[in-house]
Amino acid sequence: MNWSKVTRIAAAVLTLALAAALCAAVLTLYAAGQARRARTGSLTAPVFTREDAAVQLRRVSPLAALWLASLVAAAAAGAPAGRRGRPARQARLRMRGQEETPRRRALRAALYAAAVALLAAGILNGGLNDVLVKAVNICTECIGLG
Amino acid sequence: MISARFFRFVRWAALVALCAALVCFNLPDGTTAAPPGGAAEGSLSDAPEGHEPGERLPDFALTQTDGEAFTLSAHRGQVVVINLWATWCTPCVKELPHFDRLQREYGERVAVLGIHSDLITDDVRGYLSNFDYGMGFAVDEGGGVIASLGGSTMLPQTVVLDGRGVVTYNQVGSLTYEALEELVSAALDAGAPKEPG
Amino acid sequence: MGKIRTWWRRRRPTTRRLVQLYAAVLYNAHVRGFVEGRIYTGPTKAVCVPGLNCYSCPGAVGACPLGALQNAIASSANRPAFYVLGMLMLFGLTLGRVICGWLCPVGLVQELAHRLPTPKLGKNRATRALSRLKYAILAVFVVLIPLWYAFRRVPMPAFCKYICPAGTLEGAVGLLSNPVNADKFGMLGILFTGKFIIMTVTLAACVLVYRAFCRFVCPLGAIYGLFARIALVGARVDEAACTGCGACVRACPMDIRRVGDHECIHCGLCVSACPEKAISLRAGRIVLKGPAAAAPKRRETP
Repeated sequence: MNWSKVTRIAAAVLTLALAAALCAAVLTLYAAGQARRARTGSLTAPVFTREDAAVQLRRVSPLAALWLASLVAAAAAGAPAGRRGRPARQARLRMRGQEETPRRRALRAALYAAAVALLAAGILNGGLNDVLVKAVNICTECIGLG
Repeated sequence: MISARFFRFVRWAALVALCAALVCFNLPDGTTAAPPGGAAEGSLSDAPEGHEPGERLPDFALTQTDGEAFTLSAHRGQVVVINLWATWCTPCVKELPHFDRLQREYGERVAVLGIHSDLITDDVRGYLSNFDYGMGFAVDEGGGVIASLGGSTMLPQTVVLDGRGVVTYNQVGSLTYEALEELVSAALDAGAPKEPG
Repeated sequence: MGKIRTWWRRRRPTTRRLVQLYAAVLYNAHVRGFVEGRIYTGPTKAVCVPGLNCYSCPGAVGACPLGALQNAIASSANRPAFYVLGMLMLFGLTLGRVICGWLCPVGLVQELAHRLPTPKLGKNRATRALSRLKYAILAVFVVLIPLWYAFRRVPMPAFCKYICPAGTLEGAVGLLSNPVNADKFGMLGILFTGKFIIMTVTLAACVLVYRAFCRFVCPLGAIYGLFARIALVGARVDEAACTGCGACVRACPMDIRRVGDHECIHCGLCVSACPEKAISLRAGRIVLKGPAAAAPKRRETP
């Protein structure tokens, strides 16, 4: 019985199962929240609540524990036999463009100058302030919290 | 070829920089959460001061974009709806018409105020001049009012106060017009204002 | 005692792993944010960190380059996105995808997820084809959609809003797991549901496929990949010493065709794989890893 292979496959299957369970949990939370809104007739009742989320997490926790156990078992069973690398499809693989030519250096210098100019222009036209403001006052829907 | 000594120096300097960062970014700052105070003199309710539902919002005064002053205590007896928004925040801007409609339809029973933080990317007055809003707008210079509303930096945020100045709703997230109406109705019922019935 | 030493020597973290951990901690040095459930609001947030790190993370002390880019493009009608473009160019020209391999916390998370002991899906022609998807995502969700809406005066950072799993992991989970933010659950709806599913699927994929997000989705990697041959720091092959055996490409976990191309994250695995010792990680002329004696035969006269 190749324990290494079995436990690793079990770990992979449980990873996918846990991911599916978490997706199902969040969908359940959403559906339950919408149902609660319909039931109470309140348009401002929260769809997701911390308590509901805790209940769903508790439901998923046995699967999560099993997943952790499978990982420990797979780790304990040790690494599988090493795989042979695939042979290269070509007989010769030519490496090109690795040389540091003066032309490349000139292009890089020009682009650096452009970058510095852009930075300066950006600071002057308020771009720096823009980044600060939007990183501090967060529009929640803009990051997917909505 | 870089010497091993240089790498050792880099490692040491990097560690010092990380420790300095961990210290600097975690220093206690001057702003502390608003302490829960007792009832102020002349208050209409003995609810504690604060920004959570059930607590009374501390008084504040702001200058609106049209020049008039907005003092919270002057609006006792009215339901006050405060919306924290920003010119660059799409959901905020999308729900401003709902707040404006609320002000128009409820008239004197409701006072709606849109507060923009003092972190500005585009001139607020200039932005508003593109629209014909009837509700009041103000910029929170210094950030004191936003701090008293909970100090959350997330947008949009809506706060509803009943006629006694007690918070009935304070949450981040955008609202539909129907949801706003629901909140205002609840606040009107809760207010037990001086006006009859 | 000797056994412990050999065990440690086999398993001790590589320099690259240490640098990744260092970067992850440095970008999120505002540790008290996790305790208090609040984000950092200081002035350093005007500076973008080089790697992907959502600014809604309670610990984040800098801005996310991808988020800042989208926000800047989304408001291009008000001001052109000079500042963010300039910063991204500086990062790209200096480090390119060395950032992906050494300085990105999301890259670190993906690699740690890949360390979990499961069977792994290797690279093949399909993964190479899929690696082009991130350029499409860059074009559509980071540039075109925000630009389209910008000229309708509606800011729309489409990648952050609809796709980015890092934002959900650091922002949503990071902020909302703190009991202080229990009232913020009320703002969650269908958008969060979709992004949570994307995040979960991404994490599961990363367990089975090396750097699945990095290779197939991340638009920031796509941007830095554009600087592939021009960046100052990176992996280089001494063409004179190279025999074309292809051992480097075979050893590489990314979908490269050549060492140092736009898929290469300069992790340095190929340096040890090369039988001719022809590959090195260099910063300009300075060699960081690899045969020190192998200075490239320069064409210019001394």
